[in-house]
Amino acid sequence: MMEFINPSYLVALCFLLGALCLWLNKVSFRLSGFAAISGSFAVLLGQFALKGVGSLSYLFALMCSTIGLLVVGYSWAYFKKEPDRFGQFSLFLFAFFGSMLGLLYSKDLINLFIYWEMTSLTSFLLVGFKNGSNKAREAARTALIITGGGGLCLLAGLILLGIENGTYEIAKLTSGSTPAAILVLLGIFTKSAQFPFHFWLPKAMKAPTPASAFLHSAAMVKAGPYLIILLTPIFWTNELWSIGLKSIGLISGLVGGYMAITKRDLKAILAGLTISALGIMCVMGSVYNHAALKAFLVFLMAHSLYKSILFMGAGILDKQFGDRDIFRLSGALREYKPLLVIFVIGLGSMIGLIPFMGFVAKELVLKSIEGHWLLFPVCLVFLFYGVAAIRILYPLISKKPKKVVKKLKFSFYCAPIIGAATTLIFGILPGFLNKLVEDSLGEVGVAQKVDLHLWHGLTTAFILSVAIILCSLLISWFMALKKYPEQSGVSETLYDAFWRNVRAYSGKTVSAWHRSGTSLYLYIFFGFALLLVGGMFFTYWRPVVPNVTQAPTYYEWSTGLLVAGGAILALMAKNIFIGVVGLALSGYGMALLFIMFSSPDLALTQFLVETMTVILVCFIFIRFPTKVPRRGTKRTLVNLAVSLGVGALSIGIMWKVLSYPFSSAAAEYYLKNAYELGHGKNVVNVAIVDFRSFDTLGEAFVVFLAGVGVASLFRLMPGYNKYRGK
Amino acid sequence: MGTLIIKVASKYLIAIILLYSLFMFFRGHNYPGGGFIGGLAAATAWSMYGIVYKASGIIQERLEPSKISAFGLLVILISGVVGLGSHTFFKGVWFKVGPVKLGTPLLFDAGVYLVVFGAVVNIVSYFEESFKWK
Repeated sequence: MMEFINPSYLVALCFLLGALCLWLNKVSFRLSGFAAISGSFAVLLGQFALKGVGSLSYLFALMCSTIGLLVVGYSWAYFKKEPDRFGQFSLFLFAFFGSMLGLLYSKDLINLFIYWEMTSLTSFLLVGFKNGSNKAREAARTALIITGGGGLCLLAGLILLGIENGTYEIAKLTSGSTPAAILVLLGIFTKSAQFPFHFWLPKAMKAPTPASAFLHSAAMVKAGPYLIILLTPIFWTNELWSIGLKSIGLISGLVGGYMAITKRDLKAILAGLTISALGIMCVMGSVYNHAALKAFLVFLMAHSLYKSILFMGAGILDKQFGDRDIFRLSGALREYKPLLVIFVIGLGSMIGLIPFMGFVAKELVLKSIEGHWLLFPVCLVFLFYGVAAIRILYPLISKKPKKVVKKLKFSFYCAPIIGAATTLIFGILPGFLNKLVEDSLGEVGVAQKVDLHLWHGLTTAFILSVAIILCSLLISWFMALKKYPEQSGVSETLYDAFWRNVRAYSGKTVSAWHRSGTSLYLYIFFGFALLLVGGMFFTYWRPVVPNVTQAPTYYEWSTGLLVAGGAILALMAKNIFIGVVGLALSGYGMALLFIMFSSPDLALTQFLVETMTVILVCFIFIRFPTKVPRRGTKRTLVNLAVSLGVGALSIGIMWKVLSYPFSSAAAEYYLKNAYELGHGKNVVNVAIVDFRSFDTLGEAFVVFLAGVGVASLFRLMPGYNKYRGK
Repeated sequence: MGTLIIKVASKYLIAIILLYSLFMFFRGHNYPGGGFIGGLAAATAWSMYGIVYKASGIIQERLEPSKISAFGLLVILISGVVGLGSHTFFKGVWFKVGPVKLGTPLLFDAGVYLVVFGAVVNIVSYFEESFKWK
């Protein structure tokens, strides 16, 4: 195996691919699709050339990029009817793909967190992709608030972990405390849609189906299980960790299963099943031994495969019939034989039929908890799967379809067919995965030889498995095909009520504080400054003498007078433009002072900024009458008091600052290293563009935002559209 | 504002200010100057052009200052990413071409120049142009 690529290159490649697809799509839809598919193929191939990557990350990343390739191919066919939007979709999809790979390949807790939040953000974009629809936007917001908020809990947990261990490197972590465990668990549960945060996932089904097939089956929701298996060696001794995972996992397993057999929307059923499967993963991940974690990994891979092909199948039905209600879609699969194959393999793998991959996974799960009390609830969850499978499949093949059927193109069902074939191959020959699973388990400290087989003989697990399937058939007879009314769960209702109230209160707060008119803001701002800073000043008042050694020279005096004179002119002016001139005089005088006190950079900037300010202020005042309006005496007195106070405060602060000895350590460092490290003689500039360039990035972003913000304010003016329209 | 004097004078002034802005930009490494100042100076020149010749609409359409500003941000990010290869984000990387030392800080400064230029021209030209849809 060639080993020469750094994982970060693959992450960067994903982002570049997204931009490339967006750009190419303006030229040609086909070209863009070609770039997307070959690009994601390159990402998949790139996985085989990585160096220095842990097996666990490798297993997850390989799974993600395999399904990523399938999904990209599928999305190209999915967007054939609206080719204009494909570029944007691929941009988001690849951005997500890159963030996910970054998450999986992170070796550092903070790095992991950043990518974790990036997957939340990109998933927000993907879920709200149909941004014309209010429901899609609402769903995207919900997903972002829940996963992003959980991410913040995770951040706190990770920082706690880092402090406790003295390092943020994942490989060097040794122990974790209970608070850290709780916070990390909150992150995991929100991301993996576990009870009581599960409701964002069914809502997120408003996303275009390719996104669901990727995010909500194989990639984003699997970040939680990834973190579980990554941190289990650290946390497993913690009671709360394992109890939390087990209880929440089981509740979610059952709640998800219940959702699956009561919903009518095909994608919502699949979402319920995903919640439930993730619950089982949580349960398996809480048991720290070889058998359980092996079952965890195999079950996770099997789930990713079958769930993504089921989603893709659902998407095809949605596109062909324009409907996702299983009862209105009755008989749909009779017309499309390839789709029938996809659904049978997907659902078969889900309930664990021979010879699909799901069977191997289910056997392992049941075997690893044989004789444990967990066996009973887990069997119950699997029972739900059987019922849900019948609920999906039976209506779809029962009657002739009512609607006229459109022809199904090969390119559309190509990707899910490949996925189905993979499910079959890994079911018959699971031995391909031996090494990968073995190495990954070695990494979390439960190394043992792994030898996966399809057929284990007539074990207890097998008998149980058969019994579950038979039972679920029996139950299906009674309850699988009923049309239950749509209802929202308790946690969803609470969440909605909470945000309704927040919106109402924030509206009231805003209208209480934001009166139009700048003067009120200035009063508030300066008032608080006077109160807080001035208060501090008086509490800690001690008479001090500034150590000023030089008396000001005559030109310093006169420039000072110019500054003051300009300000007074601005105050006294009857014509507003005279006032502007006064302000400008004051500003230019400041620039002169800067020159005198040897900061030419500052002076240059001040000159230019002053010039731009004059231009802009003129633009504003040209719209108003030139005569300065006179305020009443009372108002003038208040203004005078506030401004005198603020002036006195600034003088006081300067006075105090000058009385302290001047520390030149930072200045000396810069003077010494500016030329050696930064190769520049101008220390100020070297500091701006080199030493402190990250700060400058932030400032540049603020400048950019100001430009865009002003532009958008102008575009809101009533006449703008008419003007553009002419 | 379109008097003859300012129209004729601005022709020369704009050229001089633009040259001055480039001068300031390149000078910034060793002497006072730099991307921010250079960008502001160039923005002054373009604003003058827009105001004197009533060309802000054309500047909006053809120059697309907001895009220039965004492109500047991209340049800054790229100059930061180059450092990833050697050590960390935003670490300066230097190449020696003969006696001249070139490095990512120059690229970074160019990005700052573009951001400031684009943002200020954007604001000023919107102000100027907005009189037409008042």
